[in-house]
Amino acid sequence: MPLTISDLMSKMPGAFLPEKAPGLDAAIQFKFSGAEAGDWYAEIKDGKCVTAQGVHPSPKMTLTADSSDYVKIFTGELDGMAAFMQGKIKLAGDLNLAMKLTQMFKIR
Amino acid sequence: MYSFEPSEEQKMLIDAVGKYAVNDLRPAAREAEEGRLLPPKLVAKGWELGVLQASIPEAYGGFGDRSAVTGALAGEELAFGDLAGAIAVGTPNLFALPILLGGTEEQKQEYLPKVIEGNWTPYTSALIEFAFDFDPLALKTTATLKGDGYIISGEKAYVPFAKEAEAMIVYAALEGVTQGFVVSKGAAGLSVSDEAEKMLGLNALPTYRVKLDGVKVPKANRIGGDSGFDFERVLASMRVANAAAAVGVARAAFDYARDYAKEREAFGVKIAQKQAIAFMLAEMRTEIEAMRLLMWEAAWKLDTVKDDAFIEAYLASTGAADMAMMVTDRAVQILGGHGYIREHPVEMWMREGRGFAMFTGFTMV
Amino acid sequence: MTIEFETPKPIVQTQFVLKTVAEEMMRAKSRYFDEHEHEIPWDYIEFMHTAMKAMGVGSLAPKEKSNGGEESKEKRPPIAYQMLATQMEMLSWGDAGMYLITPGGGLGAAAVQAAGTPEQKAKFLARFVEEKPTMGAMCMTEAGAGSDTSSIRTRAVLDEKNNEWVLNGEKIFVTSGDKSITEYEKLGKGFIVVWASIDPSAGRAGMRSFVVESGTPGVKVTKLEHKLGIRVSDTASISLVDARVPFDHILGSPTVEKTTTGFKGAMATFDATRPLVAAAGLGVARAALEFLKEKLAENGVQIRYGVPRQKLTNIEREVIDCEIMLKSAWLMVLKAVWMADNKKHNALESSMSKVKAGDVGTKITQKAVEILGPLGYSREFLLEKWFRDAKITDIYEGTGQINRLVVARQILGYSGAELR
Repeated sequence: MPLTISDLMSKMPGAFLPEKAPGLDAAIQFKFSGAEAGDWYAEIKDGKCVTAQGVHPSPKMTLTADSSDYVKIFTGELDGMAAFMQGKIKLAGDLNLAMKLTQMFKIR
Repeated sequence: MYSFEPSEEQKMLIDAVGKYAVNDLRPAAREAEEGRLLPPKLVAKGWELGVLQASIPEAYGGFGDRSAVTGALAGEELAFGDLAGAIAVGTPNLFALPILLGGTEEQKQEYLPKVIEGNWTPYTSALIEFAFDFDPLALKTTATLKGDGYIISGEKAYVPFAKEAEAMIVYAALEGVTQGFVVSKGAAGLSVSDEAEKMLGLNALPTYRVKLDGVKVPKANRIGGDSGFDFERVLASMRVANAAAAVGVARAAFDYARDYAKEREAFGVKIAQKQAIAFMLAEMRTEIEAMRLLMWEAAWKLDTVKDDAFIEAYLASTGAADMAMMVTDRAVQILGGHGYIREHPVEMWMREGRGFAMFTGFTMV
Repeated sequence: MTIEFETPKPIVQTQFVLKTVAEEMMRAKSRYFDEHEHEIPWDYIEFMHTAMKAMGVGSLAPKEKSNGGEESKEKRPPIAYQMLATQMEMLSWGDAGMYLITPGGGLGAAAVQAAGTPEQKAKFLARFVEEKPTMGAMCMTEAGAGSDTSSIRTRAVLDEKNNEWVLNGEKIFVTSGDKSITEYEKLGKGFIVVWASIDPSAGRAGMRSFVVESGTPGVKVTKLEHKLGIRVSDTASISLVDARVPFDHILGSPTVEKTTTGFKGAMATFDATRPLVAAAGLGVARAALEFLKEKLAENGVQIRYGVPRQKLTNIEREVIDCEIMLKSAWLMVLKAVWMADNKKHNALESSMSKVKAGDVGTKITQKAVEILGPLGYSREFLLEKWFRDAKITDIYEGTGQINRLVVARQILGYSGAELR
């Protein structure tokens, strides 16, 4: 059964690898469309990651994508860079952070 | 992909048309301009090149497929030879191509073979009106539906070969929208000026004023029938053709001025070796290239039906007109006093160069 | 063979990606770095280095990626230079100065690519795709030698005993000179390519280029220019005082015969780089024109294409003229790089594209500021910066006048001696 966005968001704190993002203090805003449309955000601070539904007041970057595409990127089924190049995901804000995103989380 | 080289077939056409332009049109140009007469044999020979015929499908008597790009390539070559001759050879396009682009099946069957089979025959179209702010999309000539036909009233100017034309497409505003109507020779209410118009340039090309005094045409004569046709598509074709002709004339002027500058001496060197002259030539060459590419892209966009094709055709025509004025003016300047004399062709090209700002309607690809 | 203007898919994708980069990583900081001249935008540098490595894009000199098998190579038309022109246009649309400090070999690597032996290419080019972002630069201009490159005075003398070249001279206007030669902890070991004479009496024939790596004693940045625009790009004066480089750092053949091959080789690389620099200039022009049209639209001014000249407002006519300039200039760049991709000799098209772009960049940016009146003149918007950034296009990589000279020589069939 494929991961839902809720599943993914609840797994993210546990999958976070603080050594991949030393000293990072940032919020990442997710805007999903499609089957599981909605806003979520992840807050990374003091080596920990928390996720929540909603709109963050000051995200360092924003990622906009179809919810099922994002799940596939997270699980590695879809290559993030390729998806970006094909216009499947839109990015705003600090792109350095965007580049590191998938490396910061251990999936499975 | 991007690609900037004509196909083999196109190259053959450019070659054939180019030979006619250089060997036939150009040598006759000055005399034709002074005598206000293009030798019919000259026009007949150009017709044999088959440029129009090659853009009409076999079903209607032609032997090819329409391509604005190919038409533009041929158009530039013809104009390079002589603009009046080029327009004359291409006058039947003005009648045939709108019908091909927007006519009903019946209209295509009825008219196209007549125009393109056999010898060059005068068929033309009347678009331009004699007002300083003439607007092809806001015509003063009107068409009104009445009974089983349309009544057309108005005055047209600069109609090539109107006096002899077997038929012409008259563009008129039908409820504010430009539409085309086939008007035959001798129609009641139709009068054509006796004398050909006198112009700044193009004096070898016979153009006339055409007056329509309640000329009645049957419904079947409206291009596209009861639902009409998209005139903007025709206008875009006219604009691309205008741009192509502008590039051809500009190129003629540039080549001539360049060759002159390489021969003419002053202060111990050829004047081409002076930066002032060399820079003028460099800029002329650069602008010709710029406008040719824009015109090519516009033609390609028409062929591939791109959303912004019409806008690009407008930009190409506008840009090419400005370029042609600049280049032909500089050509006269480079020849100095000799450029001012009606023995060298540059003064003639300069008179033509100014015309592209209003020549839209004289040619079509 | 055909006449076609369909943008290849990989290029469309690139445009999309780079638009995001331009907006998020460049324009977001444009004003800051314009006002803090000589601060270094490390975020941008690190991002581009990481991104380019991830996408397998190397330094500025384009490489055809091997697509596996001769067959597939044949089927796909070559687009490396077309791609590069697009990248430069897009990034300059973002920020022309920041584009210039995109890590990579720059003109330094381009010189190695064009004139280096296979060993030199291997030795010097690998660093640009390694762990740290690394820069390269070209040193040609001197205080007394700008357009007239043959009058440079920097000397290279061979010390036969130690088999080293000893370089003495002062170069100015070196783009990315500081980041290429000064040691920075965050940057890899870069290099500059220095043009010097091994025999002043031979004029052009005595000119050679030498790779001088960062950390070479006797080489230092003596000045960082304060400029009209592209302020985030460091423009350095570099002095060489008895700077020694190994013998094999002379680019190309190590023989010292008097020949203009080296010089001509460098000039030939300009055939490749001129349309690319033109492309960058057009990116700035496009930014300005888009901004102009947006602001006009916001103020209820529409541009009515298709309307006869006599009915156009003056503003409409000016905007239409700018569109004509921009579109035609870009097509000239495309044709020039298409010719490079298809290995057609393009000296004429290359220089024409640079003449046109320099002219167009200046005219469009100046026109946009003019039309927008008080808004155009304000630092509240980036337009006035683009006006300042655009001007360099008609000056570097051969001024508009030099390029007119090159075009003229081509169309007249004249040598440099016949038309000066």
